[in-house]
Amino acid sequence: MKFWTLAALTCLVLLMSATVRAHHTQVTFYFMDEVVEVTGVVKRWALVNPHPELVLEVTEESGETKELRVYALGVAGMMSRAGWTRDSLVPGEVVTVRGSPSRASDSSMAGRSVTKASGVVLTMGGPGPVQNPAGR
Amino acid sequence: MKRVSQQTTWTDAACFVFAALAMAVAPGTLVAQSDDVPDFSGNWRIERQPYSCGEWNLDQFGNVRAGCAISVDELPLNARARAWAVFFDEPLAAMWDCAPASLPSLLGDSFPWAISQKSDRLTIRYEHDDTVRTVWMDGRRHPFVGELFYMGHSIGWYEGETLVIETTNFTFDPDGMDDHGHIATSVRKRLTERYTRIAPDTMEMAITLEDPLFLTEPYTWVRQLNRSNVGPQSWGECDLEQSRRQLESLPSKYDD
Repeated sequence: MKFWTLAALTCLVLLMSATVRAHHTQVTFYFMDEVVEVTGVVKRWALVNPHPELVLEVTEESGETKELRVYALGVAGMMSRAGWTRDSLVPGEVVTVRGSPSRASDSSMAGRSVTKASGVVLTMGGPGPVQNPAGR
Repeated sequence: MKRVSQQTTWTDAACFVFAALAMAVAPGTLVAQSDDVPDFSGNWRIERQPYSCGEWNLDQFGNVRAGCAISVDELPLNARARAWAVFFDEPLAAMWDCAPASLPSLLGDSFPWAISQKSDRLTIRYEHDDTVRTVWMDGRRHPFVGELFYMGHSIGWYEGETLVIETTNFTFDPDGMDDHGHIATSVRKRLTERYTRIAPDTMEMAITLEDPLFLTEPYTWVRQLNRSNVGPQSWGECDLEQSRRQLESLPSKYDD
C-alpha cells in the first residue's frame, strides 16, 4: 500500500454503472469503491481485450521508478467506437490516471479515465466525461 | 471434330441449366422471406437490465456478485449449483484464456446481433467477442451425444411464426449458466430459444434452459429484442498473455 500512499490519492464513493457486461465482476478484482489518481509516463498502450492495458512508469517519493499496469474498465471494441486508437497514448507522454486499486497487487489498477498534459480527459469505460478520446 | 464441338456445346448448355437449377435450391441460398418463413434477418439488440446473481452468491471477499444475464434468484438451482458458485474462483473463467462468452450468457448482452437467414442455416453474428454462431436448418439432427462443443451444436426449425433453436452437445462449462454469477452447466445442458416477431421492429426471445445436473427443473425466461440501426462492430483482438496477466490483480482463493 506504500505505493498508493505515495501517489496522489483521493478516495471517493462512486456508483459503478457499467452499461455492458464484461465476463466478470470487477469488484472481485479491484476496490471499486475507492478512486485513486496516479501520474506517470506512458511506457506502453495496448488496445486489446479482455481489457485494454496502459503501462505507466511512476516515480515514487524515494526517486525509484515503478511500473504500474492500468487495465481499462471498458473493452477494446467499445473504446474504439468512443474514439480510442492504438495511438491515443504514446510512449513518453505524461498522463494522470484515475482508477481503482487492485486487491492483490500494488502494481496494477482498474482505469476509469486518463488525463493528458493538455487537460483532455479520456474515459476508459467507467463513469466520467469523454473529451476527444483520439486526441493527444 | 465439329461433331465433338457440337456435343460440347450441348453439354455446356445442359450443365449451365443444371447449375442454374442447382443454385436455386442449393444449400446456403438466401431464403425468400415473403411466404412461409418468418423474417428475422437484420440487426437486433436486446433490451437488457442487470439481474441479481443471488444475495447468497458471494465472491471470496464477501462481495455479492452482480450483473447477471439471468435472474439467478429465480433459477431452480440445486445444491450442486450453489456449491459450485461458492467453490468457483476467477481463474476458472475461460475468458482469461480468451474464450468467448458462452450460451446463454451471450444472449443477455446488449451488444448488437446480426441474423442472416439462408435455406439450410441461420447465421447469428454477435458483437460480443466477435462470435459467429451457425444454426442448422436443413433437418439434420444433433451429433452423437459424446461429441461436444464449447458453444454447443444448434439446429433450428420454424413453428408457424416462431423460430425455434435447440442447442445441445455442450462441453462442461464453469460459467455455463451465467458468467457473472459463475454457475456451471454440464454436458447435459439443453438450450431452447424461441423467437417470435411481436411488432415490425420487435421480437420476443423465450429461452428455456435445462440441465438436470444443476437445475431441479427447466427454467424459461423472456427477453425482448429491437431492431438496431447499427450492426455488430469489431470486438477487437484478445491478447492471451495480457489477459492472463490481469489475474495478477486478484488474490488467490486457494493456497496452491
